[in-house]
Amino acid sequence: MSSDQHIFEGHYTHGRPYVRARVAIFNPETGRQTIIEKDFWIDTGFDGGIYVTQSHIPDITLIGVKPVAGTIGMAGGQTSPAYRCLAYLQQIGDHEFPPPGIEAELVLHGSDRHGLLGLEILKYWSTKFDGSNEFFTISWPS
Amino acid sequence: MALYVPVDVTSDEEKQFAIGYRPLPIATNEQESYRFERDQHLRPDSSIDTRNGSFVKDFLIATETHYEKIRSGEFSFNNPWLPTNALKLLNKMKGVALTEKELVRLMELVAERACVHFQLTEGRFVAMTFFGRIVEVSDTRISLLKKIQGRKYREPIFVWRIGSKAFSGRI
Repeated sequence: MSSDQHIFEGHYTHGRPYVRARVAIFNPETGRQTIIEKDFWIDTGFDGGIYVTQSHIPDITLIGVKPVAGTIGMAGGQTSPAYRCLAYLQQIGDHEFPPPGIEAELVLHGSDRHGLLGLEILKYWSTKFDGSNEFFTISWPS
Repeated sequence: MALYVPVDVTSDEEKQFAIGYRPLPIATNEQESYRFERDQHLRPDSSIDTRNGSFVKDFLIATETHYEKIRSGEFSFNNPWLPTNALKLLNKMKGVALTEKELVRLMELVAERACVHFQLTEGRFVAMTFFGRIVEVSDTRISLLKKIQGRKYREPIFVWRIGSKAFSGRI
């Protein structure tokens, strides 16, 4: 595998594969944007795109984007209200994606400090988990 | 004095014949189903704005004095009929914020009814108002969000995946 296909590699943190990522939300009507930068857990059990706490809603509302109501299915089968909007994943670790970034659904729900990157995002790459060594890599598929 | 018989007065037999007469002998399944539901009072007739009256069978009954009681401001041509429990929650929502459980229940009821009413294809993504009016439909969640991002709607909207319990979530 050539080095230019590599996106990210790192050890687990507290037993989980976390990455530092940057997500941008744009208002197409005004051109204004807001950025969310935080640690995201690579979650193969989440079939959406990007998940963050709903405490980010005021920041998004400030640029004139109103997150839309909807529902989210939780692991136990429970359905819960959630808000969502369109966002762009711009950076993972040190790797920046070509502007405007990777289009994704941003789910705003709950109060977890960490975000989630789900299958709708992971479908673009090859992600390998070395569970015994608590190490993972993300790369473009060859 | 000469007796005058108005031309629109018909005997009972003639009236029965006129009501039972169908110019098109073969009705489509949709028409039959619609007629059945209307006759059984399963749904109000959304395509006829009766204003001061209401249709029972084929007769127009004047209900001017009860007009305010039967009037539904939210009910119009492109809105599906919503079940009573959904209307109760919508009414409650005007005054107080709904609990999470109530909000999910309301979205489920409205989405379910709208999907049947508009015959939406399973797996597609829709944005709709809480009164069941569809504002956008799309094949993917991204394209749906793209369409509605930054746009202002007069009523609050929510998004739904047809045939699913949730728009997205844990699997």
